[in-house]
Amino acid sequence: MTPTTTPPRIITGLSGPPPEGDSHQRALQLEQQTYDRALDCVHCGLCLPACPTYTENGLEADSPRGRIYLMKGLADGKIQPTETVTNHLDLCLDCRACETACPSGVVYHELIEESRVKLSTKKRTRMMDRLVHGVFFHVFTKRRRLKLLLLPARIAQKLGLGRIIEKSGRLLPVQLEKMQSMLPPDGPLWESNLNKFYPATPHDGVKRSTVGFFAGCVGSVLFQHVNRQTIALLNHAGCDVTVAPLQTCCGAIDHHGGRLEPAKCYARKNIDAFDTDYIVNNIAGCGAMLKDYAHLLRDDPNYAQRARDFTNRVRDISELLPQLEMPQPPHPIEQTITYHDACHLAHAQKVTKPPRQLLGTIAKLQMIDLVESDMCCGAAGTYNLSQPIMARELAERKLQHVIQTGAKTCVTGNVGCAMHIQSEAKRLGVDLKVVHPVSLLHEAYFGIEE
Amino acid sequence: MHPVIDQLRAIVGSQGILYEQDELFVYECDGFPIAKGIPLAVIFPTNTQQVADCVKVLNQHNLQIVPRGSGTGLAGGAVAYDRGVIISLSRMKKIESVDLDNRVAVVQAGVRNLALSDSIADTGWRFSPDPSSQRASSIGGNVSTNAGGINTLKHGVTVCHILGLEYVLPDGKICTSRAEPIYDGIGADLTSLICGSEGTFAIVTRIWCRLVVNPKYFRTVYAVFGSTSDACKTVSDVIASGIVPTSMEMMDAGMIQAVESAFHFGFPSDVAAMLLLEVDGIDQVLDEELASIVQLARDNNAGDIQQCSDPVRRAELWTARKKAFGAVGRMSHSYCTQDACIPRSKLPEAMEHVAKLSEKYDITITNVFHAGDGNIHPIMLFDEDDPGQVQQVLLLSKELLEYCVDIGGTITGEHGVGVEKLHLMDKMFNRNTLDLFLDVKKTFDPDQRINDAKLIPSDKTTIELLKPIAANIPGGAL
Ligand SMILES: Cc1cc2nc3c(=O)[nH]c(=O)nc-3n(C[C@H](O)[C@H](O)[C@H](O)COP(=O)(O)OP(=O)(O)OC[C@H]3O[C@@H](n4cnc5c(N)ncnc54)[C@H](O)[C@@H]3O)c2cc1C
Ligand code: SF4
Ligand code: SF4
Repeated sequence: MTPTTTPPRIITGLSGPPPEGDSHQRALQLEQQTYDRALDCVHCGLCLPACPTYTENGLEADSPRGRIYLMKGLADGKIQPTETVTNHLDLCLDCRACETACPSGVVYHELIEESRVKLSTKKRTRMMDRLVHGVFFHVFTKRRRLKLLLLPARIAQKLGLGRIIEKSGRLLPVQLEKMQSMLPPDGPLWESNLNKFYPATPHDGVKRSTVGFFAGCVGSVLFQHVNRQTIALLNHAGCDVTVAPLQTCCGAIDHHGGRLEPAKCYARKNIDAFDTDYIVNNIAGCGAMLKDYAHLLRDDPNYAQRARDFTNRVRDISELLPQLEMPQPPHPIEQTITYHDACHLAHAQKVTKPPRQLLGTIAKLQMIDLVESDMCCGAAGTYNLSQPIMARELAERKLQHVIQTGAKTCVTGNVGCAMHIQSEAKRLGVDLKVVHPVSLLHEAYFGIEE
Repeated sequence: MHPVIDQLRAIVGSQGILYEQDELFVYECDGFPIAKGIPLAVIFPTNTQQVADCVKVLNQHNLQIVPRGSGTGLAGGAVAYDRGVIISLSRMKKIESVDLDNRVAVVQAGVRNLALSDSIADTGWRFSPDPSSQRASSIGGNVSTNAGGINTLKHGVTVCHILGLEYVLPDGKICTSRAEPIYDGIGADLTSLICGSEGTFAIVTRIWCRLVVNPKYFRTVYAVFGSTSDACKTVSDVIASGIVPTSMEMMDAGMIQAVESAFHFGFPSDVAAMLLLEVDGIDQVLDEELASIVQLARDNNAGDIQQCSDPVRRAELWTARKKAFGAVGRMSHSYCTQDACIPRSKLPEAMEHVAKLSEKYDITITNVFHAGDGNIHPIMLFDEDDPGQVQQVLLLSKELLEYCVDIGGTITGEHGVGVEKLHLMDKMFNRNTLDLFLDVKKTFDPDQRINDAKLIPSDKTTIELLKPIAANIPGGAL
């Protein structure tokens, strides 16, 4: 080796502490509790492979660790909320798979949701964005308006014009086209409302609990049959079921969209509306939101305690049924199925085993494990409308795994996933039926519905 | 905009490069968040040729090259300190072929360790190296750091499971060594030379991985102790008895608490230490081995000893162990995991020394480590945004590692040297050996363009982590 005479150049490998000074320069001012959540991240990277967006594009800024770093950087005033930065935050599905993976207990969704709320003051300028958001907030959350909106599409379907609408894709903006393509293929023109009360019809004569059924808004319009089946199963298990008339949207669409006040308003109304032992729902997205009320209303002096009490009584249908001593279902179902974990069930509510257990009680039903069963399908609430490209990529990934199982039926506990996977399967010409576990259970207990 | 950007974009496409300041920000550090540096750009090649073409372009501009896998490294190795360009392997994640007859899988360097084993799970085969980060870390990263893991004790570190490599030299030439499912035994073992070189010789792009059959029979136990030194004594007694467990892991009280609060496994809360132990092999022999181990534990005052025979519980146990580092986040905002190997017989006294240092520097330390290998991991808890604490942590690390070398140990067991331990290389090796290291590097990389001043002290550049008080430290810059 030739000895060098010049001494080595010195580079510092440390960055300075966060800049002090005017807090108004900090683009993001997080609540202390939320900021501490960001600090809980020890930058280990164990969440990377769980994240669907990182898995798709390999960008650190589209990983949970990277997004947390961005949010902390914004809060520390190290970076500014440029379009690039907000794009990375917007591409997050809020699927919460990172929370399941994170050993450090980072409560990621509180961090991203608050950051979005605070960054969304930026005006939404694009015409299309405004239209889509208008539809989200003002129609999806109101049952009657949703039914009205759907009426022309339903009529078109009945008249066999669906194909024409599909072909007119060029005329419809991609998001609206997507909305139309997600309509379930069958359904009445005008969905009738549920009764207010369904008395228990216990299989063994034993009455067990009172249940308030949370019908959801999109769910109660598009998936009323699943709601009726859910109620029938609960009645059979010995539960009186009330469909609280004053219930309203769970607030998730507003909450994820960064509109906190309307979300809180919905939460209060729902808390007032239910006085039963349990509040049961069959839509994972709504269930996760209902279970989040305690956090949402933590600073509301009149509701904080009531919200905690409410949250403790919320159950997904698949959580409650196994506790109700149901008999073995009498009707076998000779089918091969696979089960997709809805994010808001698996990651937000940590419910993964009960639905599989329930399906396992059905005679002759063959369940094949799905690879990456708990990776987001891209539906993620309204994500498939706001980020159509990533949503499609993830759906294709999901469908590839589903095809591998050989099953022609994919079971999942969330309306959003069901609509998204079903419409993407249709687009790609994959022969697949997506159903709610309740539908299979209903068939197994009561035989095929006419 | 630096002129290199357009040239790189021409190779990897506009979706394959990042150069805006905001986006580079997240590449500022890896799993060792103390050391930081913002790269000039990050590129995402998808095949070996693109890597080679990019490297040639970078050479024209005299830029530093930093390979990066998943960025879980704990020594600051995957960070560009000198406005270098990061070559991310995160999009080279194709499992190219699996040949069970010849027990070999060929993968691109960005494939995650566990993705390979998962893809062949139904065959009963696996890729053996199992660093706790295996779900996230890349096989290329494992090769480059020669990663160890929980079953290293019996099954060996990464290099034992690598049959061959393809790599791009810092001048853009593509080489392959021993790239067949058989050992060729020809000449110096270049493949092994690359393993553990922490990306200072070449960029690994393709790996021929040896596959092994999953053990069919095993026994898993955990034993609790009233003192860490009793637990450590058990470890050295087991090794001395001639039994080679698959794994022998230790956690101290703080760690048990963190893991318990994360995974609710049901560990007792009032013990000083716990050993997790597994043996695998021939069914008939295992009960005998287990009995001897239990006896040795009892001789060293073990309290409760639990066997974990349910496969689901067993899997949960090891998952909890593997996620232990991360669980530390529940106790502190930042942590720094130290990593050293010491003779197993010295474990009890080393643990006492660690406790003393913790007091001296007023930094909380908790321990979880590969006890069977004598590979200790004192984890220091601190706040990354507090420069005073950062300094204490760095000083504590230095004193601790020097102590380990003095008692016959090394400055790293598996996490590598990176920039974090560079200043300790001269404690570990004499001048001649260090010169040889640098000469070998220069054979691969005459212009010192790839990961210079990491792992091997460079004559061109020094990367400092402790600048403000360097002058106060006897013996030179830290
Ligand atoms: C929670 C946690 C637990 C861990 N447990 C263990 C453990 O049990 N055992 C263990 O050994 N390590 C462990 N580590 C450390 C780390 O995971 C390993 O060092 C791992 O091998 C790094 O892989 P990576 O893909 O993340 O590499 P990176 O962090 O991206 O890179 C590590 C080094 O290798 C170089 N490099 C990466 N890819 C290439 C390539 N293709 N060609 C050339 N150079 C390359 C980089 O330049 C860098 O110097 C742990 C880390 C964490 C965060
Ligand atoms: S797993 Fe948790 S602590 Fe680790 S990087 Fe991800 S969010 Fe941070
Ligand atoms: S919520 Fe989902 S998409 Fe967002 S960072 Fe976490 S894992 Fe990734």
